[in-house]
Amino acid sequence: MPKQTFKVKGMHCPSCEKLLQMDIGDIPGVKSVKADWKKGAVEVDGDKVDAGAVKKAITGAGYEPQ
Amino acid sequence: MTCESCEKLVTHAVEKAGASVKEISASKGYAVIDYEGDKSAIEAAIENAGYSLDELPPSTPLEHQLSTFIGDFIAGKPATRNIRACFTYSVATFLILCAALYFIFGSPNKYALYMIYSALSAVAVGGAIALARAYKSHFNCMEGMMVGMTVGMSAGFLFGAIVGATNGMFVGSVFGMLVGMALGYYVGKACGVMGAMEGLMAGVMGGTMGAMLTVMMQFDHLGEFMLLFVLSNLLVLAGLKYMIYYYAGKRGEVKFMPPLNFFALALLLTALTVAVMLFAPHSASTILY
Repeated sequence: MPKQTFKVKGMHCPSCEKLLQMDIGDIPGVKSVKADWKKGAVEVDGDKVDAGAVKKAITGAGYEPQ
Repeated sequence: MTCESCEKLVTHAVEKAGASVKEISASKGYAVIDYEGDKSAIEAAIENAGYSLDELPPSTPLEHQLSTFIGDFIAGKPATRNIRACFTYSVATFLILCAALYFIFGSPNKYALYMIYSALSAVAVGGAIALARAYKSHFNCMEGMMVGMTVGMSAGFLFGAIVGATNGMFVGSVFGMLVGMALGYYVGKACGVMGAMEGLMAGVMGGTMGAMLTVMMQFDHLGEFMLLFVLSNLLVLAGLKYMIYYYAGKRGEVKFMPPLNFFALALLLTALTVAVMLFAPHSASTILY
């Protein structure tokens, strides 16, 4: 199962992690999401996950994908 | 809720449960939700997002919350298990440290009272550190910063003031500052760089001010002041422990520090302070010189 890691700017607390996990988790094909605010990264696990949709979800939640 | 992310998270959770948020404020701790039908799904969604729906409304006076807590604490309710362990370990460790100090140094000496203050400060600060480390994964950013700041400043104040009274302004300031910064950083880093910075800055401030106060008060009721000062800091640290219990304690079970580790932490702080008190340079301007 392919994993994709996205660098995210702007996370500053566990609430930011949960917010991104909730939003990215709704994208079709996503099996699991793990955000880490300390590392500024989100790991997305799933089949045929559209990277563009993930970045759009990150932007939509108020953060900056890098 | 403590920040904008919390507001967004709660809003998302509520919307996914089929309702809408009309108004939300992290700073005031409330949300106005528009819903139809059963509200239990909304409550579950908010709780699943990591927030607690307070049994007590935000307008409940703090005095009421405290009296509820004291009742639960005395009754030994499971929710207070960690804070009761903290209290029990603190009292037991303080008594053991006092006995050890008496055994090592014998009859009261000119530093005896300050050695007791050291032990008291060590168990109070140690208790706050133990609770903060236990709940570190449950803190949000604001709480982590508060914990780092309070531990750093209280530790700096207490140890700076004690060593300032026995050794003078220079040694007191340096010691208080280093202890405050180290402990503030250690506790504050749980919420990242902001908490670490709060801890470091509070340590600098507390350490230098603690020593300054006791040196300046040497000829103006220092004894009475020290008692009030130590008790005031203990009250602040007790408040911090309650804050950790009240907020982070509701977000999940954690394992409290084992008693031997707690004792070792308090012993280290006390031994370090007593060693500095006895062996570091003493300023001729202190009344204990």
